[in-house]
Amino acid sequence: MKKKTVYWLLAFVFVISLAIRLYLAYQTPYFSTDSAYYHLRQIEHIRETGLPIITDALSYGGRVHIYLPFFDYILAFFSIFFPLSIVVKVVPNIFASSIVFIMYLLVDYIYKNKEVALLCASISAVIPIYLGQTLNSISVYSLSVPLFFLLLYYFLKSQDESSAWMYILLFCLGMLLHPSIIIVVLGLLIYYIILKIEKLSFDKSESEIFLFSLSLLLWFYILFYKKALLIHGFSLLWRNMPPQILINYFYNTSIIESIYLLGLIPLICGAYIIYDSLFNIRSKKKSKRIYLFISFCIIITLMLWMKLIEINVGLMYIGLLFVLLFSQAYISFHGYLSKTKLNYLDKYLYLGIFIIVIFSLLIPSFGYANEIINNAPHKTDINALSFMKEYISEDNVLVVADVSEANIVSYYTGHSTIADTDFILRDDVTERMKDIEIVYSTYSKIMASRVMEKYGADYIYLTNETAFKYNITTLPVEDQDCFHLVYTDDTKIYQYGCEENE
Amino acid sequence: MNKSIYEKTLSYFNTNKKIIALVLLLSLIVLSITPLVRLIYYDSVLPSGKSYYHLRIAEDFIYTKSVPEKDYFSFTTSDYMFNPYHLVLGIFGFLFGIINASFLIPFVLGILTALIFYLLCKRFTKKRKIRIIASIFFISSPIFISLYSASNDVGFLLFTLMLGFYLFTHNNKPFNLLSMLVLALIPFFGIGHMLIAFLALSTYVLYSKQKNSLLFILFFIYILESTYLFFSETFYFNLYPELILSSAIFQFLSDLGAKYGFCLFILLLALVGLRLSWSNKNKNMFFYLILLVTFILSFLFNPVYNIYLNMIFVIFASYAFYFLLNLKWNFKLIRTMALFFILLGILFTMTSMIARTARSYPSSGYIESMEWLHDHSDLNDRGIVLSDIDNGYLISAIGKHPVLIDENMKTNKRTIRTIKDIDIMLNSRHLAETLPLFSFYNIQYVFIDSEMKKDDWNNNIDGLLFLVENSEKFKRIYLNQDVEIWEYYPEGINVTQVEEK
Repeated sequence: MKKKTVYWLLAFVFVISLAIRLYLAYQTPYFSTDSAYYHLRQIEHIRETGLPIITDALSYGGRVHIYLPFFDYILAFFSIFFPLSIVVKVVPNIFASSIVFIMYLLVDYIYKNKEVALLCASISAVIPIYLGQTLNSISVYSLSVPLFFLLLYYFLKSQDESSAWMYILLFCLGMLLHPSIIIVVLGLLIYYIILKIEKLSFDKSESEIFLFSLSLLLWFYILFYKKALLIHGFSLLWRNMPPQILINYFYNTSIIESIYLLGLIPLICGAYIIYDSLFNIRSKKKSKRIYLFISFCIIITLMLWMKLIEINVGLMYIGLLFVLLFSQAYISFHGYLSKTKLNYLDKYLYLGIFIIVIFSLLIPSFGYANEIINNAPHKTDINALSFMKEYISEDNVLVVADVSEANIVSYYTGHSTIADTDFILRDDVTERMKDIEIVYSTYSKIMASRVMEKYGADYIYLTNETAFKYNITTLPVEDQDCFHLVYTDDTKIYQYGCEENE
Repeated sequence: MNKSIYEKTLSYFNTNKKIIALVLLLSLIVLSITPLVRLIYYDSVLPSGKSYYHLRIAEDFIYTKSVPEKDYFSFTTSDYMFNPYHLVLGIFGFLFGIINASFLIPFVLGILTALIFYLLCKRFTKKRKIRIIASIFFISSPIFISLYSASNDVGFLLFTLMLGFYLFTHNNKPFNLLSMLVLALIPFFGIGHMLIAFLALSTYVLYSKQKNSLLFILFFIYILESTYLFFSETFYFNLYPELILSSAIFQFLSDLGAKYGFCLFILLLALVGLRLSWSNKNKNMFFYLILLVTFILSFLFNPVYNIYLNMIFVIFASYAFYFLLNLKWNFKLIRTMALFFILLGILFTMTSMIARTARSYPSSGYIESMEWLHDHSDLNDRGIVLSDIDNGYLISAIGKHPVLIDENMKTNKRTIRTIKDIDIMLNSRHLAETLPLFSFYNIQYVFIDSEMKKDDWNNNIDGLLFLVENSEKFKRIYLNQDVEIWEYYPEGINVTQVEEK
């Protein structure tokens, strides 16, 4: 294939990928994750004041956030030129689609084979978990995941001084973007260990870059999370997550579902390459670069096992790393085939594999993307929240909502919730989670009232999802005197106030 | 050849005098911040509650001119075990005033310890640059700051041990004999410290192949002392593990709030240094043995043994830093920046530790409340005070009231029952459960601070806080921004009694 044709095809893959993403994202005017609404609040605040919300009156009844606002600043910057509603839907999808170019660069650099690079770039665009997770959620991962792979590209090229500097620049950006950059440093540490075991050596420039990354990362994050480290210690690594959430960490994901989300063919090929590189002594395909990708697979698996990263995030990285390992499998298979009597099939191999892999991934990708889109709040939820905003005339009202819906409540109503998913700097998270559970599940008016009084909460927000989670249909204390139903549809709102009735 | 900024700086300190001046100046700067902050902004309140315990015992020395047998203010009248630091503090307290001495002694000891550390480095390391790096790392280490920013017997212990080791390794007979005297003080601080001191000296003797007789004399002294001290039950109980393994790891990193923790960067550099030293593993075998023993003692028994690990880590770290400095790098600017961030990390941990110590408990609100309690209670009838373990030393030292619980409980076997009872008293909302215990322990006052409200009752009106606020048998007699004091009236509040108060 000619160079120019490959570039045109690559651009075409990018456009198609972006078009599919935007088509899917615009199936709903809302966002699929609760955290998207947190980012929306931050972006709007940055647009208005130039600063992120650090002291947040709408979280836990008032608290301080420790978070890296760089991603929100980027989106706020774009919102100067375009309407915010478009920016938050389109820009993250552009970032996420850029993985196509990065995968192309990586594979082309390693194998000097543009066709294989194009194949891997196309596959990366339709990895189900990556497509779903970065589709409709204003997710920082839509930028940090492509950045991670770009860092790998520049790391591999680090003998060249300009690439080394590019790596450093991107590393600094990644550090400002999200703490997941720690995966890079930990992965390089595993890479170093594997190279030692295999009696290979770190390149000088690689070790210099690694040392720099490690020292900068430690310094920056210790400085940034100083207060949180002193308060939470090691539990900061788990973002001070309460046990109620940690226990159910892998609850919603089965092995079969994980395979489905990663894509069957990249997974099988990736697993084979890992086996062949690490355990097959007679293998001649040992390559430092493959060890680099394997190191990242190992560290992400370890982090998943230790519950240090969310399952969806871990699978996203592993899915894309398996695409890189798939490229090695393809090259090996291609090399093998050319030595057999079936070498005449060589010219059909590329097209055949392209069609098989892409189509085997498209169905799960669309299925998962639809599921994600369906996770977005429904019109009835938004109507309920709009009602709440109009109905409540007072300021400083506290609403009881499930933590997974707290940000959306704060965004639409402008009122605070008892707890949300930012657990850092809160030493009463477990207690608050328990109290929320009591409100939704107890039949005792006294216990529910005690919780409402404890926080000075006035309203309870109950969606179908929350009802399902707590295995209820209506609030168990609904019929009682103190918990009045003030709005009912699929979503219900209750007002608390005993004195007025009694 | 172009020299980096690090090399130029290190090259500037090319004479012994310059290096000693640097060590003195650095330690002076680092150690003067906390006392200055406390003197200016905290009305001369000493940092840490334990410094008030030392202050109280030293005051006892001054007034009674003898070693007390029992500590009558401490938890259920603990046995008192002689601590040489109290004697030193008492003597200096007599000369300069006890508060001044409590500020002055750690400051002077810190500077002297830094100096001895450098002199020991000089004795064992030929490379000047490594000596400079090691001294800087040592002075900036959180443990050094923690030990010498507040009145602390552990700081005195480290000074004693290092001085003893320095004198022991000196080629001068009178100095060697003097070292016996100094090192004989070590067993008073605990059997673990004695073990480490002996191991370190044995290692030196094995390598230098001299001074065997001195080691035997010291061995004999230690056997005698430990046999005597073994029969003191508090000493024996010092060996009991204080920590469970899961929390021990917290005690390793200063950045996670450990009092005797390491700087993460020093720790990582030390790992690199350890790896580098492995090429001479046979030669370093005994050094690794000391490291292992200290690590086990620290991990299983008491994080205070980190003070020795700190010195070992600092030495390994300085070797690693020197190695990185002399490594031929492809990208010089990246090297400069990487080393810069390492130094910045060390500097940050140091400043963070200084700030933590300077702002540490207690605040002047605590002292005011104690002084009020001291002034407003009958000198002949000092009732027992119930409070959190952390407030124990402070109440007994300034309030001059015996406390039900303080940190001495860790070395007292009578505590198990009392701890259970304290738990009931703090958490029960039933007068029927709480009041008999108040009577049994003869408790007269309840001292409540904001930390207790947060830790014991999750900022709710619960347990004892609920009782004192709702029972007629308790009356709040003192309140400020940090502290409230309640008095217990077994017969109920009598209006005249309260008015008198």
